[in-house]
Amino acid sequence: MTSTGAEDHTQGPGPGQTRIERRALERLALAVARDATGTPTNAIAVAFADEQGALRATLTLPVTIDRSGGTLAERGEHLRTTFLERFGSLSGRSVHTVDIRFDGIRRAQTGRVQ
Amino acid sequence: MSDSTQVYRRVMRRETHSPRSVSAVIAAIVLVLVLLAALVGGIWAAVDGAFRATALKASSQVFETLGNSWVVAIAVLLTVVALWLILLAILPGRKRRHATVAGRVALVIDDGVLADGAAYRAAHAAGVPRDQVSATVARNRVDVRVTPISGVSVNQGAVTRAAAEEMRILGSNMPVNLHVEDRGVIA
Repeated sequence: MTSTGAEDHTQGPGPGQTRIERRALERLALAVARDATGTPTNAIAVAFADEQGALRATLTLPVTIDRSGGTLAERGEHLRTTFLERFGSLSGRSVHTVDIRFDGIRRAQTGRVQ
Repeated sequence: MSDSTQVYRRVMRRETHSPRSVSAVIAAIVLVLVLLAALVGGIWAAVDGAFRATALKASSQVFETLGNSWVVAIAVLLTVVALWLILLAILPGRKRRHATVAGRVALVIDDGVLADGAAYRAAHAAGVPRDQVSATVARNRVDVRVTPISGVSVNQGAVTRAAAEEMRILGSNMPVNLHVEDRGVIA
C-alpha cells in the first residue's frame, strides 16, 4: 500500500513541475514573430486569449515591405503558418487561432546584415 | 474476528457521526424536571384548594405582566428549540470524515485529506498546477474540477484514473467525477 503511494510522485526524472508563466509565453510569441518577419520586438504586441480551452493569439505589428514581394495577405499567411508551427512546438501549447493585425508599414532597412 | 469487525463498525460509526448524547441528556433532564413539577403541582392542587386558587392567580398574573409580545416570543423560541431537537433526532449527523478498515486497522480520514490527495494526483496527471484543481468529497463520490491550461488538452481518462487510484490508496473506493472547465487559463 505504501509503495504504490510513493511510486507515482517520482514519475520521470524527479519530482517537480515545470511551469510556463504567461509572461514567458508572451516573450516567446514576440521572438517567434520577430524571427518570422524581421520586425523588432518593441514594434510587436501580442495578446493571448482562451477559446474554449484552446489558445488564441493576436499579433499586432507593422507589415514589413521589402524586395521579396508578396501581397500583405500573403505576408500574413506566412507569419501565421510560421507562428503556429514554431510557437506550438516550442511552448507545447496548441494554438487554435492566430489573429494578425497590421497596424502600420515598416520599410526593411536596406543594406542590413541578416 | 467477527467480534472485532463489530467493534470496528461501532467505533467507525461513532467517529463519522456527531454524537447526540449531550442534547439527549439535556432534553431528558429538562423533561424530567418539567414533568416532576407538573406532577407535584397537580397533586398539590388536587388536594389543596387554596393552593389551586393562588396558582391560577399567579399564572394569569405572569401572563399579564409579560404581555402578548413576550409570550409570543417565548413560544417562538420554544418552537425553534423543538424543531432543532426533532432535526437532531432525524438527521444522520454525518461528520466530514470517511472510515475504512485496512487489515487490522480501522482508518478514519478527514474528507479534506481525501480531497487533497485526489486533487494532488489529478493535477499531476493533468499537468496543471495544483491550484488549478479543486476537489470535494461527498458521501460516496469525489468531485474533481480541473481548470486546464489553454492549448493543452487534459486526458480525462488518465486524470480520473489517477484520482481514483489515490482514493484506493487512501482506502476508499469512491468513484471520481471529473469536470474539466470550458475556459482554460493562459499559462
